[in-house]
Amino acid sequence: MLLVGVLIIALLLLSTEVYVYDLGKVIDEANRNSFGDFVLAVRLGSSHVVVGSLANVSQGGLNQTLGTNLEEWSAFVGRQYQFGKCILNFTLRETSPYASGIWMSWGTNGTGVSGAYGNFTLKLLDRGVDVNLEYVINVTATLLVESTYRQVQDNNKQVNVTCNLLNEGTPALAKNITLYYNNSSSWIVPGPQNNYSLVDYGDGTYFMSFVAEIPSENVEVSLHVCDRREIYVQTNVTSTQI
Amino acid sequence: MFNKKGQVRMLEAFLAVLVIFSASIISIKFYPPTNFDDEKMLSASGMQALIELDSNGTLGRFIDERNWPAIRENLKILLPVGVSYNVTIYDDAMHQINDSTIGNGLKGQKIVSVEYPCVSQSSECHFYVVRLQLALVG
Repeated sequence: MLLVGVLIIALLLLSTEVYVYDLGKVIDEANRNSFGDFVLAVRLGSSHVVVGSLANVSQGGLNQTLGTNLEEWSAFVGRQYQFGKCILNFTLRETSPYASGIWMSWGTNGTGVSGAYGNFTLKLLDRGVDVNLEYVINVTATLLVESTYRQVQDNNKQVNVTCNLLNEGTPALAKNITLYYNNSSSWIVPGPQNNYSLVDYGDGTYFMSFVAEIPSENVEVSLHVCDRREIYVQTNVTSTQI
Repeated sequence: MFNKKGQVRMLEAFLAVLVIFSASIISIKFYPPTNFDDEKMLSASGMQALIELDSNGTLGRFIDERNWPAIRENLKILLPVGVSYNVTIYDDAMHQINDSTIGNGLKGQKIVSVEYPCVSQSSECHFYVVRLQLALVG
């Protein structure tokens, strides 16, 4: 009788424990979900900081802007995680052609690149969870320009310029494009008087054409482009005669 | 005789325990049920909507521009039907910056809150905390 009584009480206690344990499992699962979402948000934010900083540096800001902004982001993220401790560390690429994580190559060969590169380590210390996540953010805006010209009359030349804009190697749209041509050492923006026209093919390819009086046989053009993320890139190219 | 007395006491103890447990079970039955699945679904939907809106930097840009109606309209599209919500946006010093209500009138028995760290994808990085409160209507 005593044994049966004890068994029944034990069973009741056990079933209660099981119920409480099941509820706990659901709460843990909810925490894990929030933890996954937080990782995604931090990764997305890191990417935005790199893009924004590159936009800043490409428009004349200091190279150190990227590091400063990422330090602020890292501190901000560390304060926001509610379920434990969050440590976001980063290292900026210093190997050539990068310096402080930034690469600016605005050459005279028809190729211009503005890029930023950072390695990140996200460490989350949660209740019973210890996660180390590594990820890389590599942002580039690449401008490829080709130019040809033909002699129209006397020194008048018709210049055709084709450019391709790429973001991380895939075609991207420009926010604004400014074309210059070199005439007697001064850079001039062609206008309506030059029959200037711009065709946007909608796939990151742009075609520009103008007629100008350029005495030199050496027809140089310079293209300055801002992409939709406000990253600035430019390049010069010497036109080939056709 | 001792055995009988012991058995009676055991029976008493058992009955006492039974009464306590039946009371507990009854109280659990009367307690409003907490639906963890609904909470999970709500918080996942909220986070997903914010991540979607922020994927190309749109959320940060709207906040930079103080374009609260745009945030409201986008969340209306991104959140499931039958969910009421309210958004509060704080700067990095945790001062509220939205001066008008962003939401569709938060109403519901159980309110879930998610917090999203956001940064604007502009040449000057600004940091924000977006607090999204959600509830199932009805």
